[in-house]
Amino acid sequence: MIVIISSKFDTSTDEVVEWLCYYNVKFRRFNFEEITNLENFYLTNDDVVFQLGNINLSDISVIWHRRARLNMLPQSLRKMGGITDYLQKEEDSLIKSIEYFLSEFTGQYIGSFHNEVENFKINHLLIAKKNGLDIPETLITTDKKSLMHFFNLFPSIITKDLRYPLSVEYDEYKLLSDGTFRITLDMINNLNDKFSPTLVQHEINKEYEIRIFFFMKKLFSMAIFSQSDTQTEVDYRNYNSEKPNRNVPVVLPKEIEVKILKFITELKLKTGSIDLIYSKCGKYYFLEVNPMGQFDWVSKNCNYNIEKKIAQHLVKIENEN
Amino acid sequence: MKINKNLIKLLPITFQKAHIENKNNFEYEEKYNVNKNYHRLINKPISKMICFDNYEK
Repeated sequence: MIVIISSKFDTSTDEVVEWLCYYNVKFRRFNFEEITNLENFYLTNDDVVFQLGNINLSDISVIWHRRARLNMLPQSLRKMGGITDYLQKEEDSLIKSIEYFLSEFTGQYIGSFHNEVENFKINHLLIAKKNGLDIPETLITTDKKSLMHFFNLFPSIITKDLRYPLSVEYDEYKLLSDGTFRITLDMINNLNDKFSPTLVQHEINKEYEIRIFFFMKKLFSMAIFSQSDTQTEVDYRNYNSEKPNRNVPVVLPKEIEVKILKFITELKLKTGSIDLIYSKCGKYYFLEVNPMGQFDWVSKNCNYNIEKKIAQHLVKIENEN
Repeated sequence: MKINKNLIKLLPITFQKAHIENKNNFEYEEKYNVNKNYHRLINKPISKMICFDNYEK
């Protein structure tokens, strides 16, 4: 049986599921919004018995972990402040162990909650560089003098969150980050001499941005012409919904593809999305990787039919099992 | 919850363009008579719950 872990609002999962129905294979979809029952994760010296949502381990051929994660906490425990935080950390630990166990046992675990939460941008930059990809010059600092020095080195610098976008919820309000943006001298002057760790990068003068969705070492690349729109010129993710950027399929040079595949292999990622910049100087710069990135827009804009290809891969494993 | 002038100087620079979003945008627009569903953090201190004490008003 094919097991899918996702969200009930994920349309890409819906489309893959439609293909699975078309191919008439057995599958089970677990959604984050619903509580999943873990009947058994029973470790003995001889064996491990695993049963989740009434599915036995021996029945699972492949797991496609598309989005979010399994949810096992009763709803009534979800608004208890510190107790909820504690329970969620306990649950996270269990989820990571289940993921590890299923990966080891089935050898067919595609996608990862673990990789999503351990999404360290600096590590990714270091690993990209190690594998021969160019990266924007990057400074992480808590020091105003160093920041000012970096600011003076380049015509323009940008900042973004180190790991996750800021998102803090209160009863009525949310405090949210504004994504990637240019830094001004005023912003630097607003800071104390020492401040919290901050990441800044040289802003690359870009011809276009590239979004790559990858699945089992296949790359699906899309050029995003974000440069000529003031709203998206720093980062296409500052989306302009009224006048969307033009997105078209793009063929990467073989040399860049090889470097990206080496990068993915080192990170042990089977699926995810990568952002690159193609600069006006004709160089490709790695920006970041998102282990659970959206691919619907890449699939639709470029006619890649990614949903069908994912379904076919899952069906192939199921049929070989 | 308060983020005052002194605290924001210590926060990562990403906070300087962070914004506050009301979970109910319609109510927010009525209540504060603004065109957008958010205000820039350092320009418009608006929340009852998060005050940015006299910072760049």
